Amino acid sequence: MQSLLEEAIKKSNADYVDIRFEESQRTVVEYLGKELENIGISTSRGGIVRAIVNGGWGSVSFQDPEELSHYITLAIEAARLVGKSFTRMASARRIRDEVKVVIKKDPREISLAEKKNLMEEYNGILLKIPRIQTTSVRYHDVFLTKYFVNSEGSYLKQEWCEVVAVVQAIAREGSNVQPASESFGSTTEGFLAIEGKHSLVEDTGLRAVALLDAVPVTGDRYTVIIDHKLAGVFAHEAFGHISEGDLIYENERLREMMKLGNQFGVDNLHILDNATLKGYRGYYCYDDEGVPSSETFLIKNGILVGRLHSRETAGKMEEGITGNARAINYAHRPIVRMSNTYILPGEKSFEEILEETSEGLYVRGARGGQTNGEMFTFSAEEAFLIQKGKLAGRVRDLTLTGNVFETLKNIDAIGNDLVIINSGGGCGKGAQSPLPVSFGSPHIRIQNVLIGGR
Amino acid sequence: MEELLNLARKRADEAEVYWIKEERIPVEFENDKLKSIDSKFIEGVGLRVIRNGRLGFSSTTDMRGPSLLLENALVATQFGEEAGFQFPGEAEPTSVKLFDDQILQHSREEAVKSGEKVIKKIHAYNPDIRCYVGITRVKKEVGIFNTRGMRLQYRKTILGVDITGILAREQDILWVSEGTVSCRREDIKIFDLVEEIIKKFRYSEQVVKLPSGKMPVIFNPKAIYALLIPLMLGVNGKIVQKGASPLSQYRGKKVFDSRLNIFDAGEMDFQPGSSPIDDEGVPTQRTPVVNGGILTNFIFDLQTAARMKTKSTGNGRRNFTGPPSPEFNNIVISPGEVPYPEMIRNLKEGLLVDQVMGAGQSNILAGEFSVNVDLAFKIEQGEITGRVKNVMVAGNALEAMNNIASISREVQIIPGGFITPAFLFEKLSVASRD
Repeated sequence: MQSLLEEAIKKSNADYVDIRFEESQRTVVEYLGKELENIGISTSRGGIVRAIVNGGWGSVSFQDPEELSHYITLAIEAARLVGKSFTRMASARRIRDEVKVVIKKDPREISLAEKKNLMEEYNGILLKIPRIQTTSVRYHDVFLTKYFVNSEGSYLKQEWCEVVAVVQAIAREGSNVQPASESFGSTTEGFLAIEGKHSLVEDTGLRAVALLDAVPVTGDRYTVIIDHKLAGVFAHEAFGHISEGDLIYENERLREMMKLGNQFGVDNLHILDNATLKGYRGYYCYDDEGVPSSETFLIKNGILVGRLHSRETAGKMEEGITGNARAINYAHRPIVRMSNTYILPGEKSFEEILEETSEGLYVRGARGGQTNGEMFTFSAEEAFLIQKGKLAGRVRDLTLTGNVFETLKNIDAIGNDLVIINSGGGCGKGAQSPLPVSFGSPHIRIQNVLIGGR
Repeated sequence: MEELLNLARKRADEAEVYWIKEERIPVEFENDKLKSIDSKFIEGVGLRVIRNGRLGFSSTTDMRGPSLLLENALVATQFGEEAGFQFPGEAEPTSVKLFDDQILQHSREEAVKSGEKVIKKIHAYNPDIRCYVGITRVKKEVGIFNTRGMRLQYRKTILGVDITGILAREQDILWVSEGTVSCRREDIKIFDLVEEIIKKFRYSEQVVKLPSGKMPVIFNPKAIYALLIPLMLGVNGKIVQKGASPLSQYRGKKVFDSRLNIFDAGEMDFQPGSSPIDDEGVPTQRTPVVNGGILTNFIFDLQTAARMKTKSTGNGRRNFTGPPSPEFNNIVISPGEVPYPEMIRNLKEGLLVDQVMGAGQSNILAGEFSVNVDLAFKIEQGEITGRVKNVMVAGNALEAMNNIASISREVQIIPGGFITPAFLFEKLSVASRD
């Protein structure tokens, strides 16, 4: 494969060309309720040629590498049609490397029967809980080999592996339906990452059932304490995405608001993106442009200090490369993406934060999130009223919304209990979803959050 | 495909090959400038086999040889679900037009020119609006072959356009998006989208305040899907079969306003969601889901229908990478009585919702919705008086569909397979931050 790719790229004639070729094997086990809806092993291979001429991109995704030179010609033709200015790409080190993945318990050595049996156990735990109507228990593992060559002489062969399980319980009473979910996974532990989770699975089911008896929240502004999951989703969705260079570089307004050095929050607020964090789903050695991964502080001491880049956005903004150009698979060009994004811990314990909150909501878990740049909405899994510093009744069906800049400034307490989670799904941007990422946070408190409710 | 079927026949009782070949060419403008032209050539195969009455599945994009694909599918039959159905044999496909040579002749250069014109027109209204334009041409071939004699193939062309204008001002970002998609080129009226976008920017020139409370709310066709998601899930045969649908016990009963009529339509000409057969060979049809407010049908694929002891409604949908499950082809809502302009004119005070954010995030299975209003206008004395910001609308979609004030006479085709009028609800809960 190496020589095939390297030979083909030698003949290319553009400002820059690269080729990525991927071969993967994926196993899935999916229970929905009592039924095993999907089980099996599938394979995939394909690649993409990307060319840039006078600042314009052309690309061709393909499956058969035998016709590579034809695809290179097509990609360069498209790039010429687009290019009208000049190419600005940050320079990157020429890399020649092969990365073997080291997995503690390789999923390829575990039988399909064993994978199915474990999911069956988890599913059985949930189905036994009274008032659980149905379940969704999904397992997947992926073993991926990626080849990368570019016209600057880089060559990479990288292996990547992940094992993920997502369990969801749906409790129901009449027309009141309440889901709760949990996910486990790793890019280094292999099958170990999802074994022995029986009690966490049971807790998930019990959480869904407890929500049946919660009362719908009243829409209003609240002081909220949010847990590591929801705060992690906030760090990723609301703030992380506007730290992506491709969103910033041509958007004057966002560039102004995202000026490095601007004060964004309290002194002990630190947010970073760290692709070098082994084991988490956003872990990798080189991104899909062959740039080494890095740890990038976005906010340090409450001040905006960095952002995420591809070679193109770093070049255009004259900032350093960070190795954040990622693609979900061979059918897509890499775009600027996050990896493992989290808020660093502060000083206070959760109990202290709770005690000093006279009234508000303690909001946990996330069912989803969306943003349009400045405005975000997130829906939480569960919440409790806070009265005089203590947790009171359980409330449900919460959606939080707000402006990210105001919300960051309204963070007034940061806990000491960071947890990073491997979310089971992944991140979506443009047409590319789901990309493996993780996010996390300690407990944080935010003032003046708008909650939608009836 | 024939080779794969023959091999499979020797090792399994039944087999089905789902084959797809697609060429997709997106031309994208970012921030007023032509950014990229891509070509995506994707070909893949999904193989379902039945052995000892059990299902197995595998897929691949590696077209070099079928043996590994077959082995993988056979391994899965050890654990697979019992097949409660047989693959359909020779079926009479539904007659539906999905192919237009004019789309194949739509060149990349033409797409570039159209995009440039769109941006010029929007800038003629306001040069500060940043434009994002995507024009995508798709040619798709689908084949379904099985050991019971089915050998069906069909072709589809799709042309889609998405335009977003972004206007950033002090403390404010305003997005307006419009899109259109069809299998026939003449349906793509790109400059109608531009006019619609400019109209909405004009409405947004004033920002007005709206106090919280319960009030009349109009959902434009583009936004109504936020309230349709719970209903769509509620009538999905798979969710019904799992007992998770809040609608499961209401089949045959009147649960919605008697003016509400909803169909699944797989047979509409030139709609990208249409096809002569679904993705497991069942001819597509028109299925009334809600008829005069009565919940009449759920939608099914073969396996889910078998479990529920009923018939597939031709809604088995999938990508080649997975087995089918019930999904809508196109969702069609019948028009109402009230002309849209009148709907607005008759409102003393209320909210007009055009774009929402956060749809499908709340507890949709229970019918709950809670959406941030991305683009909405205030109506006072029958006139649109300006844009409203920082507002959420929440409620229960299933209840709301039983409390409809009026439905517009006009319907609109929304990308994603919705053909729907606008809806006015008498009282929805609106939370405002101002």
